[in-house]
Amino acid sequence: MSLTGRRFTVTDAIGIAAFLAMLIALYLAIVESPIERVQGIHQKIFYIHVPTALVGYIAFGVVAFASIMYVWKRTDRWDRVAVASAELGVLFTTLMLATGSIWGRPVWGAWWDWTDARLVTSLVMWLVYVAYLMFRSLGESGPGTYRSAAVIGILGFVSVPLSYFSIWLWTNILHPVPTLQSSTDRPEGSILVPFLFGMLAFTLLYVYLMSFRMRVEESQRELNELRAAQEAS
Amino acid sequence: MENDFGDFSPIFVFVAYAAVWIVFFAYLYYVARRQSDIRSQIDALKESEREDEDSAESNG
Repeated sequence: MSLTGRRFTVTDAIGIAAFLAMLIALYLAIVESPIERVQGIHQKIFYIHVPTALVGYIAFGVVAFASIMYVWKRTDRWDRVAVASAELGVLFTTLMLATGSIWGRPVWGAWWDWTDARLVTSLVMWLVYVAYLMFRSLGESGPGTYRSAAVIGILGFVSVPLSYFSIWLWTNILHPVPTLQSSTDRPEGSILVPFLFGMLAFTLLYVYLMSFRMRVEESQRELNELRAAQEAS
Repeated sequence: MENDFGDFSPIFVFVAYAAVWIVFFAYLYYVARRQSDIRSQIDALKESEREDEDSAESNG
């Protein structure tokens, strides 16, 4: 099927589904979800803050898995998956940090608090993957760099559970235990549905951006090979 | 309208949601631009390779 001469691909279908899911998630979060009693309208930031955080964790999990597969199989495809997912993980985590900060200002009275373990460990996790991307962009393109990056991708994953479990590992007064897991404050259905839809929307968006970003990585390697061949001849 | 946490103005919610949408569209634009730049460089290299082959054939 085609309107512009280009074939309609699965990636296009995922992109459209992600866009529609984002619109529905926005409607559910802003219009349908109830206004929370204590935080008021500011609690609605929860519906983008938590999904971006969780999809960021998933993206870094994919980096670790692809890095292990690269060390094991030594196939370039796993390296491409790792670098694409690291970039998206940094993107989602940047949004998580930004929306958290915007949420914190009216609720905690501060944009940032260095005593909060979740904030600090999340920032450390973000810095680990920014360093991973900097190492990738500064290093030569080749198996040596890919191998070293894979080691960073595997070891760097330690920062992910550290960030997630920080609210239980350290005494923490700002970040609450996740509402969905709190035995005393279970969410009503009207809160759960927009949250789950937000998760679906951001996961679809991640899958779409991954396939889009992977294409760039494949083209970049084709270009590098062509240049190397031309220099050799 | 105020509570213990400050005012109930929707500005923070608006900024948070707008930031997410703007960043995703900006990233999509950036990746699309990058892909199109790389593709045009590949096409230029392939073109110059073809020209080199043609001139080598005509000289040989």
